[in-house]
Amino acid sequence: MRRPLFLAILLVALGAVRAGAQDAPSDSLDLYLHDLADSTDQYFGGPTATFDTTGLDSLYQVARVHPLKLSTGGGMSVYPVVRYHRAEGPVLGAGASLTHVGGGTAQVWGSYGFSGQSGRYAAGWQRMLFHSGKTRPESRYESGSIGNGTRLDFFARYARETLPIMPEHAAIDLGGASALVSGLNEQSVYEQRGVATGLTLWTTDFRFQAGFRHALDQPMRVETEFSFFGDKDDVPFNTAAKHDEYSEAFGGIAFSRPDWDFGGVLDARDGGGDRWRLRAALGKSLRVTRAFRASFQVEGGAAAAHAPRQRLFEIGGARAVPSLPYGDEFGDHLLLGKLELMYGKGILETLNIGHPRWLVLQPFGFWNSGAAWQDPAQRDIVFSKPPEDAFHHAAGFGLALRAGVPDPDTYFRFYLAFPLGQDSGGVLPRFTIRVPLDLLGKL
Amino acid sequence: MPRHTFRQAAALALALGLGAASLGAAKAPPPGIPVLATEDTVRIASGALPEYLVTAPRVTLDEILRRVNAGEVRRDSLMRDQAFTRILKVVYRYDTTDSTKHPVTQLDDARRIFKKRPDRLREVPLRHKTPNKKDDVEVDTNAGMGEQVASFAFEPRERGNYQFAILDRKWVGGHVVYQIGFEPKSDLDPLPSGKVWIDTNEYVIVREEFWYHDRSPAPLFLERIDRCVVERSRVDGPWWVITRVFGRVRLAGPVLTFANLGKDRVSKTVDFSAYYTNWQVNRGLPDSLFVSKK
Repeated sequence: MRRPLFLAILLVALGAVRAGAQDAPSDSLDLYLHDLADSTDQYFGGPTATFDTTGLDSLYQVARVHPLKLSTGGGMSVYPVVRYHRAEGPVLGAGASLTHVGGGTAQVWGSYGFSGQSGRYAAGWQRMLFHSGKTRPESRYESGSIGNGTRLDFFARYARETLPIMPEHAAIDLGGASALVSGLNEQSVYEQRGVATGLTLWTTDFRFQAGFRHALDQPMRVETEFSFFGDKDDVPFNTAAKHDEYSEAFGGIAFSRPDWDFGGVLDARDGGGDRWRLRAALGKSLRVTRAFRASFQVEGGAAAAHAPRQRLFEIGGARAVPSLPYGDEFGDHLLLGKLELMYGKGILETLNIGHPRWLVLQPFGFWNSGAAWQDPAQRDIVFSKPPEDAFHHAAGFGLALRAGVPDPDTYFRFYLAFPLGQDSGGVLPRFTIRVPLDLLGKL
Repeated sequence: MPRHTFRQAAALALALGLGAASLGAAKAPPPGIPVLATEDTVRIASGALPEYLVTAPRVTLDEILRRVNAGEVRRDSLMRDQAFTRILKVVYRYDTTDSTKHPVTQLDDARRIFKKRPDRLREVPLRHKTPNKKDDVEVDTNAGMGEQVASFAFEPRERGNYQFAILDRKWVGGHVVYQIGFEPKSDLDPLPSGKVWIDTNEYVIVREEFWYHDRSPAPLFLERIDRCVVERSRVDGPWWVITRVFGRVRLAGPVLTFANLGKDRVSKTVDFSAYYTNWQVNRGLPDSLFVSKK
């Protein structure tokens, strides 16, 4: 009789031991988290970690009757328009973006080119028609992007503006900085005046766009040869666009998976006759090692054999084969490949050279190869085999500084491009502001 | 037998049964029968129980990551509406060596916020204090129920960009809390490093810290982000929600120089903090609450 009782007491005692070890008070996790929270308070200190909750319930009752009016901000933003181009001279103007206009966003801007003595202006309106998923009300005034749910936008725009030839490879400032410093800006431009309207749909990982445009394209000529340090005789001519008035449909499909570092675009225009134009680009980045990342891009294009000059493709310029100037090589077909390898740390830090913390200059190297050619038989075909001698190659190296805006991967890049082989241009210094997969554009 | 004595006896019997069950659980099972691993963080008086080698595998890191994501998705999907009060602060921290430059609260904003599926959102401003008339600070609120600031590294599309490691494991009052560290796989990704605390009872993130120490996502604007802390608590029943968020940012030289061209001085170190209180979840908010009143 004693033995079972002893065992019972032992079992109870053991049970109590286990309960003591495992079944701590139910708020132990809370206490543990509170300890961590206390360390947070200590780190950030009083002004940051102290919150005044006094009277909030009363304030809510008051706010239900007399809502507190706050400036939402961002109703209107104004920005300057400043650029310089040999076909316009110095250009000054201003623009504004207004939200809450007819339930959408209106954009207007105007500028004046002092050498060309001509004005440029635009007015556009964009409205979100549909947006599913998680969003806040102000999202309707922001531009859409892949990965932010399904959204359908309508847009309409009238503009008289200066556009670059081969816009997909154009610099953000149309080469204005080099034009002002040396006069050696080869980017050519033309004038377009017209109206465009259409719909853009973002859904899952895709963007679809379809629209209609009626426009008049006109050539522009060199209006000024001024530069601070260059020779007037070195100022290049401005490639003449063909005078063309047309109505056209345009559309495109884009795909992006940022987690794969992969994306693609396909754009099409067709204004009838010799105006059709197709362009596609694919881009992929991958980690080579922890410290190195490689980016691959390929671009192809085809246009009507007798398409106006402003619809043809070029492979010169900082974003294509950088040892070639803009406009040197052009044709109704395009094939371009780009390979880039970038180092993840700043070179000054790696070499133990003293520098400000913000000056993180990442070295990179590249190899670009491309061809722009006319179909030998002048056929209106999409696929045409490029002649072997149409290919031009360039390689180079440079330093990149991450700007971080507007895209986290936007870099300021300064680099030297060296021609590989004959007829691939000369050694050229280049400066660009771009993302690694720059041929895809904004998605 | 008096009644209370019977109750005591019944309680004793129950205790005996539980004790026996707890001992039985510790006995070695027959060969071939699967066993559950017992956490080695459980403190048992040495010698009180015999030790047995348990060969069952621990939950793997991959399994933890998968379950955390599933837990977050489930949590989000079960929330139909939310109401909470948010207090937001921005504090300029001037040089602490100068006694005349105490921390200055640049923004103190309190709002009652209501959310309802699928995408309804209403904010009722309660208090808005700034030292200057000019107020450029805008606060975005997402209409969704998800809390990406706590779970960003665990989302399926982001997980591949990080390396994870188990840093620590603690037994806290019936909860096994894992501390998981993460850092970007590539030096070129503008992603933070950090660590999260996961309660494996529910596979929920209960706390997160992240930072940009060695590099900045935007060197021209941010020199570094010293520390961001996201704290979660259980509220209104079973719901784990963010209750406090803190961040300390050091501005980079170029943007600081530009910002200080004006009359108002900006400090190099800026603190952000948010406090979320008075939570109500799934209380059936009426649709009329979200109708705009002109």
